[in-house]
Amino acid sequence: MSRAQLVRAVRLSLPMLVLVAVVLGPTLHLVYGSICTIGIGSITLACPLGFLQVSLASHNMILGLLTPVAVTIVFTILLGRVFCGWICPAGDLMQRFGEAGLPTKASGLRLVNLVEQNSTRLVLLGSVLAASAIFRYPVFCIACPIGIICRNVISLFRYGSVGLDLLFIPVIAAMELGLAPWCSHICPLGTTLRIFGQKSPLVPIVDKAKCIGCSICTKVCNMKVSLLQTSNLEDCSRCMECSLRCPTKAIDGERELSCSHLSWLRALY
Amino acid sequence: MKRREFLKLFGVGVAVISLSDVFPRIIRGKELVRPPGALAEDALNAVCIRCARCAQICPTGAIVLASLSDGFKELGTPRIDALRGPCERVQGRCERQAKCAEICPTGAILQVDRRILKMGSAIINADRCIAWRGGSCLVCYEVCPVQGAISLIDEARPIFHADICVGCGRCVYACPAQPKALTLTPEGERRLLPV
Repeated sequence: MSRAQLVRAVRLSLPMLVLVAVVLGPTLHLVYGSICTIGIGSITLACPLGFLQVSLASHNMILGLLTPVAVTIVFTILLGRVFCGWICPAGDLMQRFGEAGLPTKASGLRLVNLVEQNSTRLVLLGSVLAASAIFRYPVFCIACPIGIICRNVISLFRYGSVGLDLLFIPVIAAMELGLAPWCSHICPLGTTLRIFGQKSPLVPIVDKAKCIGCSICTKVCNMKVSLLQTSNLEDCSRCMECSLRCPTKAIDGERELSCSHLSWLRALY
Repeated sequence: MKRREFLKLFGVGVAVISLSDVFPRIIRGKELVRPPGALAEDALNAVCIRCARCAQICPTGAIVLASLSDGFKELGTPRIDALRGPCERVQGRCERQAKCAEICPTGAILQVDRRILKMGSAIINADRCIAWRGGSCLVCYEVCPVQGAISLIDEARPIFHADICVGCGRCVYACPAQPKALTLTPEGERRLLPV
């Protein structure tokens, strides 16, 4: 198995392993919670968007979630949208749907106006938060594909049945086919993580001396990041596909996680 | 910003906010039996992050997640399904403290003194009850952990006192009649307001 295959296999199986942990964790008294508030023992991570929504919905800061959310945010500040590439069980599913159809996907960045993309998803996030505060329930949590997958996997394992809410997944997938790619254009959680992770020091950069300008890195990128124009870098999910597929290894192993900001991280040590 | 783009963004915002109001109106919430110490209905739906921890830790499996048929706002929140198991807060594995309240990360379920607990009440359908139909069965009377919630007429037929019953669902779970003669309802429940 080549290195590329190994990295890809790990990346694609990690979300499945997390789901297995969600399902089997409680029987071993080890892992509790769905991905929303997953915890091993007393170490807990919590969804920052879920926290914002329940806090706004209850008109009250939910103090119990403060530390778990802070830990998640620190990870995001350091690693950007790494959750989207390596943990999210919906992301790969969505991207498969995206690849199956669609001119917006095939023609890549040209059809997608970046300014519009960013303002649309900020408006989406803002209105989800506003609706949570007005109607007093966490609006996105109901339709969140990650939550839906976790809840249904849990109930499938415990009771052998799934809920009707599983139907949201094909609805979202249809949205992916007809409107815009979910992960990079719609997902409010992705937008939240992007906001916190936009200054992450660990982003792929291209070695200009080796680059032949083939733009394969842009084509393989699920998140519509253009490394050549260094645009939309905040959406990078650290999936490493660009560096693994680069024919001249211009985004190679040692270099892929290095960047100009790294000096301050080194200074910490 | 171009006018067209602004209108599009405005439309997106209005659509999301109005759908968030329309869906709960179409798919209305049912009256559900909630775990011991659950906040009042509106507060619970606001605070619960739908993470399923309570359902995972419940030792009897009594806590299940509300499905879409239980209501749109209610989706993913915990409810007690006495057919899957009884709540053991009053007597059993959660006597010392409620495990669901202990693990809840948002405070949607709080520790409540088990002596003041009232999750709902069990209701009997005499037409289905083995004892009321002339058979011999005292299962509900024997499993009931609350003194005086079930009394017997002629030492044979059970009658239920909703004001004393705490709604743990033990009798419903144990009822041997097919279909069950007992149902658990949230009637008379006492819930907490958020702090």
